[in-house]
Amino acid sequence: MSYTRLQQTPFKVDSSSSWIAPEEKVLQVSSGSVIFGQAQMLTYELFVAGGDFAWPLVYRTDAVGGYRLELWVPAGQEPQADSAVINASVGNRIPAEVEVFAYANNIETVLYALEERARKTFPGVRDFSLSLESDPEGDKLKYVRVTVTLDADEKSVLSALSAFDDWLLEVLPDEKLLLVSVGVDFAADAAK
Amino acid sequence: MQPSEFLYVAQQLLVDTEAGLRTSISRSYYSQFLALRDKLIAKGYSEPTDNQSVHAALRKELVSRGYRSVARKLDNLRVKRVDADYNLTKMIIRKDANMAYGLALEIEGLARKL
Repeated sequence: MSYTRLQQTPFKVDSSSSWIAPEEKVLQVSSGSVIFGQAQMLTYELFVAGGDFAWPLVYRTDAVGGYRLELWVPAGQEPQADSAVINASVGNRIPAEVEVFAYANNIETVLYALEERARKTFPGVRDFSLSLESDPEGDKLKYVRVTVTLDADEKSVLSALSAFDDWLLEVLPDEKLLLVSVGVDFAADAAK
Repeated sequence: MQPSEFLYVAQQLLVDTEAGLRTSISRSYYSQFLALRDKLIAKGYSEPTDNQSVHAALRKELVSRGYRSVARKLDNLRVKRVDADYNLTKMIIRKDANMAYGLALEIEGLARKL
């Protein structure tokens, strides 16, 4: 299958859009332009679901040696401005190039590792999600937010959070250390 | 006025009204953000004067000086504070405020070694 580049650059998606990985993990993102800070080619593909089609997203090397997440669509199926994928994906946000951490050369590995570690570390885990978040007080700063919803007491959560931090301190280099944030949500039905 | 006074207020606000809990979380955060900022300023740190976030800049400075664990904990507290201050549709409960207060105490302990 041949692909043609979507003319709208950079591609924008809003925070409610879902990018669905082959293993059906849903990753919510707030920008379609993601720069990875290491110079190794990523071959992992994500697929964005929109309308009746699923278009592959591929990582490409950009001019400065990072990686840009681009939307490519099958030849002859380039969506019009008001097509389903645009409606589903384009929000009002100003697209920003987002630097995401990369301590491994495969984003799937990174996300798996985060989830696996979070599930092992935190007590009473009910749910787990990953998202790209904007810092409301940071110019274009964005970060990966790991949100763990759980039912546990504050003391054990603080202890688990310290343990999770210890792991992050071990695996993330300085320049990536603050690009992963951890949000702990207490389960609503346990909010007593 | 010392930043630690905010931590005292945070403790006083650990009551069962959501606005109080949100304010407590915010005070817990600022008690540590300001204390750490002042400590680093005394060691030669300058806050950014451009559009850069002073919060992000402080965390970055902590990392660059080797205080990685403190930076992580401050970030954990920041996440709670952002939810408390900006995300009004999210339910904030006492556990959240207790957790934020606990994080502030942890940071305060670590900050003594700075």
